[in-house]
Amino acid sequence: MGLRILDRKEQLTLTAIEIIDELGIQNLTTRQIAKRQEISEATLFRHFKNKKELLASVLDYFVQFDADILHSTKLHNLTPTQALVYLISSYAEYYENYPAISSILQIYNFLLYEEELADKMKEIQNNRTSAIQQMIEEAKLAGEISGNVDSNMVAVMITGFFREICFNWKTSNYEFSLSDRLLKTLELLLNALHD
Amino acid sequence: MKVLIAEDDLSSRKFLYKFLSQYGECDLVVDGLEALDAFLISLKEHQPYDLICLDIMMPKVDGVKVLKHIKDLETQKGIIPEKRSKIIMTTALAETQIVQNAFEIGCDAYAAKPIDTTKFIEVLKKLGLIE
Repeated sequence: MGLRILDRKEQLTLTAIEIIDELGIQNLTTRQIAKRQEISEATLFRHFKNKKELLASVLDYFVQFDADILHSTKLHNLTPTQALVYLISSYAEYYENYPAISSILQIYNFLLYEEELADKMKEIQNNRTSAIQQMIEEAKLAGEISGNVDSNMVAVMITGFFREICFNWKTSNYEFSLSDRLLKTLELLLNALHD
Repeated sequence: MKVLIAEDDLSSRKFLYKFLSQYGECDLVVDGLEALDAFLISLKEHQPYDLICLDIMMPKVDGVKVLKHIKDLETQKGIIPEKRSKIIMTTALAETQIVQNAFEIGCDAYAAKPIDTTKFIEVLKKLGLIE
């Protein structure tokens, strides 16, 4: 009932996320999305001219809170490492309560070969990595971690373990707490980087 | 008082349920779509909610979009302002753009998580929901 009052584009985007989570990106077809929405493919194409445009909408939806989460780390007056913990725990909590959205993290490799989508995906990845890199730089200046570490390498490590742990979480059928695992791994890394 | 709590996080949901149950009957939902369903049912049954607590970062449909749909539906149904549900946005986010958007759409208040019950009670009093 509630789904019906959303605009059609949003309904189609949510259904695409649901299918990616259940069947994988390789099995996402416009026919299947239309079928689940009980509309014709022609109706779908009135809202998205092709599957690429629909996937671009999925990516926009996927990052819809990025700016607000990042801005919150600044407004909360946290130390750099506290800000990093806040950032990771915000995503972890959101994904934990909406497991389907974490599946979008796993479609990067597939999108790499789709020209326009690859650029969009790289931009998302770069923005997230840069935000973390900035926090690592600030943590170095504040003496919270060693001044000798390469902040870009650490940021890549963090985005890497984040994605890998989300993948393990999904393949384990969500049997462990995503927040706990991510925050413990982050703590381990930050401790190792301490002077 | 009839309350709808839309909150995806289990501990926050339990906390709000326990806290608000002392003031009235509470319904619980875990995402934006369920919140819209519950709101539509309440309209259909002519038993609207006095208070709706909407988490912002909710799965499927976020709290701000739910707020927009509720406001639009209330307008479409010709519900007069005094009879409309009071809406409090709850979030762990700071007062960022999305929170400002919620105020522009017409939420009545904003409660930062973890929720401060003293402040929350003050807000309920200010909104005329409790004495």
